[in-house]
Amino acid sequence: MRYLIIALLIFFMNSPSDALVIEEVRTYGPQKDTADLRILSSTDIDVFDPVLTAYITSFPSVSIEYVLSNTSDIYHEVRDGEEPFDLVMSSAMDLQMKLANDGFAESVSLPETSQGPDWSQWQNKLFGFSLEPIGMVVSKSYFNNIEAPKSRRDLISFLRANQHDLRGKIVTYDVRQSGAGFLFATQDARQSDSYWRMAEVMGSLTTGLFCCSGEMLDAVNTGEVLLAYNIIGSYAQKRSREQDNLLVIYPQDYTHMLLRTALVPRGTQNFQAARDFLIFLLNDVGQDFIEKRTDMLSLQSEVLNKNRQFKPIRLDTGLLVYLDRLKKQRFLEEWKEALFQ
Amino acid sequence: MKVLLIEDTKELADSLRLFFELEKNHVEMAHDLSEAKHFASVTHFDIILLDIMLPDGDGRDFLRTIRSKNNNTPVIVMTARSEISDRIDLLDIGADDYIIKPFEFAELEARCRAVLRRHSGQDQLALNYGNATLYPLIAMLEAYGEKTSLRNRELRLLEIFFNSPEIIFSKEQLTDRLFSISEEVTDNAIEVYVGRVRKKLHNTNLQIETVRGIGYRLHVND
Amino acid sequence: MIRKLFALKTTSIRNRLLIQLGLVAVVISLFLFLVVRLALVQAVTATQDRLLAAAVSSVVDKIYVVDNMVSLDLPYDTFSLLGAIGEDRIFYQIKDDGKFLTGYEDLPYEGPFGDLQEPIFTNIDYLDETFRAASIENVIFAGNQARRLTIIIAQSQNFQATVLTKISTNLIFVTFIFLIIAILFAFLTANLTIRPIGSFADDVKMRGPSDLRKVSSDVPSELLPLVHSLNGFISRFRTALRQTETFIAEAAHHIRTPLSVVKSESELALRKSKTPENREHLRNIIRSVDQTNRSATQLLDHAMVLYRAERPEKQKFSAHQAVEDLINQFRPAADLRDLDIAFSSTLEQKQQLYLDRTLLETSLRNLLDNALKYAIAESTVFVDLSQDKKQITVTITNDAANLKDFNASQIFKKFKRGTENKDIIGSGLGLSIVLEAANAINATIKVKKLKGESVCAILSLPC
Repeated sequence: MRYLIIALLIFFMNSPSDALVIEEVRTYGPQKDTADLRILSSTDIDVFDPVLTAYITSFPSVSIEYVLSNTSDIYHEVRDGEEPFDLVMSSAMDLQMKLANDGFAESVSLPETSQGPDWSQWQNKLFGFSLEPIGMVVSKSYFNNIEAPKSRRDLISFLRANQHDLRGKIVTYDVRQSGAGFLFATQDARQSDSYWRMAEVMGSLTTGLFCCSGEMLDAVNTGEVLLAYNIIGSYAQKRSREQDNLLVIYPQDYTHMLLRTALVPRGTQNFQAARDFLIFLLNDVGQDFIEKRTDMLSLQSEVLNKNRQFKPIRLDTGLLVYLDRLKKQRFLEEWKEALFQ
Repeated sequence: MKVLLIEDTKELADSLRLFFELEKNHVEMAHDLSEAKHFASVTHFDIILLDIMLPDGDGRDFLRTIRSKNNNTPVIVMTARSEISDRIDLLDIGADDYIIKPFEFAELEARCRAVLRRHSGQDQLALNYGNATLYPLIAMLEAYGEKTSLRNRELRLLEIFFNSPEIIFSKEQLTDRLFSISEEVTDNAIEVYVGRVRKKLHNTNLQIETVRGIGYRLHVND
Repeated sequence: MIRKLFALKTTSIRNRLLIQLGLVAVVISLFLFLVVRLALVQAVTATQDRLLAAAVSSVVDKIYVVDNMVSLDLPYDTFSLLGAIGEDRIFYQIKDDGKFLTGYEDLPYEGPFGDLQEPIFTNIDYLDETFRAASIENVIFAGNQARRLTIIIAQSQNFQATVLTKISTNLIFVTFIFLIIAILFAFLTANLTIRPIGSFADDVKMRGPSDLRKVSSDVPSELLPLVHSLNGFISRFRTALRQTETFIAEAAHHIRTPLSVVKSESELALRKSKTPENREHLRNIIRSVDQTNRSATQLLDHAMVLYRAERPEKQKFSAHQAVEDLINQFRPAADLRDLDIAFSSTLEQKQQLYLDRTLLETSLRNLLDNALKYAIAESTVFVDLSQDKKQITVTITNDAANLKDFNASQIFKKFKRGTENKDIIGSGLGLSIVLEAANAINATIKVKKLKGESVCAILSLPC
């Protein structure tokens, strides 16, 4: 398979607010002026690559352009951008839900064989295609002799008990920059009041705030940082195989499961190509492939049944709430108060 | 032979009476039911001739009445109706025979004779002349104890002569009596029958004489 | 249109009833379906309205004032629940004294607004869909200033459509079942309604042709006029028949009585008459009387046969006995012509016939009458009665003169006679009466010429 890697930072259009920050572009299949299917996604290419490769192996005549960006940019691109994309995949469930609710997604009717569980899709506009637990990643070398925290309660106790050692050694998402980070934080806050206690403890330790999980994982690996909180499982899993110092922990009190969702944006030029890809992604072959050949989990993953701690984030209109101007403002204020002391 | 004639049509009754009297019978006439009942209760008759439609009732009632009194005098019903159902009905209530009007007197006479013949125990009617006796009911001629049977027309021819011996009958008179008027017969047909009867009279002292130019008569040989 | 449908071209009351009841059932079913569906839409709308009202109320609970600023902590669960049933889209708008605060600024609704107790519910067209919206106005105090807040929550109607689709499917099924049952009932009703008519028809159909009793009036009252007029007709018919019967009998009496007087008196006169001229005269009179009588008899017979053919009076009787009685009846007349009647029979005495005896005897009487009339004098007329599996046969054979132009096919025509027998009195109706009477009792009649100078008539009766 021959592919092209373009790693660029490009600012589109005139105003910065409309800018789409492209982190990476990869094309699959035959070279064409305009690809048959343009995918805008927040999923790391390395994670999603096996799926795309499998797809063009089955359909060699299809050319795909896979564009990687962050969830926030993706959201704004779909709402206001002019770049034509045919399929939009994002880990920011709330933003995806808002796009669908506000009428930016096309209805796609899929065959029975490509229908996921009811909780995994919303109307016939938003389709969850993979599950990923949100966990902590710790430095193996540090926790070689010390028992690593297994729950958030453990974590809070551990942080309080080792304030001196841990100052500046804890990292998590900067929810102001990362859509995914914002989603994880709001879901934590919604799930349990202990979130704010933990946030305050983290604030007292001058926790590092990052935009992206990759950087956090690098920091943990080098030992510069001892613990990264709210890391997407697939990335952590993939890195832990490559880098020896990473240990992934899923808190036992609860572990949120992120649902990566796809939608076909309104005004797509290649509706049929997008639909074909969704059919592949959601049928047994696609799901089985995701479960076995990627670091993501399928919608039918057995993890869900084995461990009660794993809770998929519900794909419903409740997700809209934290995007409300006033609610978001209030949440961010409280978050800042907790983390910047 | 005593005949009770019950018939309301006077002309028919009169002519029938004359016929019977010509044949040497005694006839009483009743024109309605009450007269008929009166005669039947006071006198014995050899035969009763009964019309059905009478001014004061139905002839069948009369028939039922006399049969209920064990009077078994032979009854011949004279009716203008030809329906078989009527006839069966009549025979059921005790009539011996019936005859449909209009009829030839000869037929009435023949039926009377047939009825009387069936009534055993009745006095045998007999006509005597010379040394011969004629039994009309059984169509027999007897002389010297020797009986000769007669055919119908032979009997009727002899009857005519026995009733009026020595009287001359013309060929026409005899033809009319022997044959139905409706039948067309030749002039010499009567000669055939006269010839036959003459043969049957051969052992008697009677003979049928031809009176040249006039006719025939029954005569006793001396 | 409806009239046309109801006046479908069928002559069957049952089918008409069925079609009409069926149509009524369809109309009622449709009506039922629409009414229930309408009620359903109202119920579902009311449910949605209550949900929206609850949502509005929980949103109002989360409104607070900080530093004279109105703020809102939008309740997650309310929004989660609101979209849970039908995956409905949700839009909201909150304005503070007419100034947009949060939500969707372009939501096109300007009032009127209800209050918490009674929100105003309206349909709003927004984007590409119609939304159900609840709107209220709520006054809060920020500092000592009253602030007028308007809150609108709009929800798409997927939920309603989902519920309606689901229930409508059931409703269609139930309506269909109702329709089937209604049509079954229509069948039953039509059959029950038609049953008295059917049994009435059977009652009339089962009657023998001579059954002139009144029809039972145990029928639906709607049929009474028909029964009455039928009974009226039957009674008139009965009277007419009785009159026919009486007429035939009366006619016979009135024709024959005077004839018998004339004949009798003429015969008497003939016997007394001496002159040849008078005798010829009287003979002519007697012949005319006989001619007249024969014609009259045959016409009366003809009338009687026609009458009887319409209403035969069947009875059981011995075939042997009937034929023998008839022959005996003819013997005196035969005797006068020195004719013998020889009767032979291979039938058992008790062999029964079941038919109108009058018709049988009429045909036999005419056959015998003919045989005696045409027989050569002093010959014998043979009457034979025999039987095979299918039929009883009466064969009458006589010797006859003048058979040169005997034509079996012409013999039954009315008013025709053998041309050579002019002298024998007869109207020619005799054999056609025989044929008619025979037909009326399902008998067949054949006349044929035998070797030598004899004719035989064969009457075959079904056993």
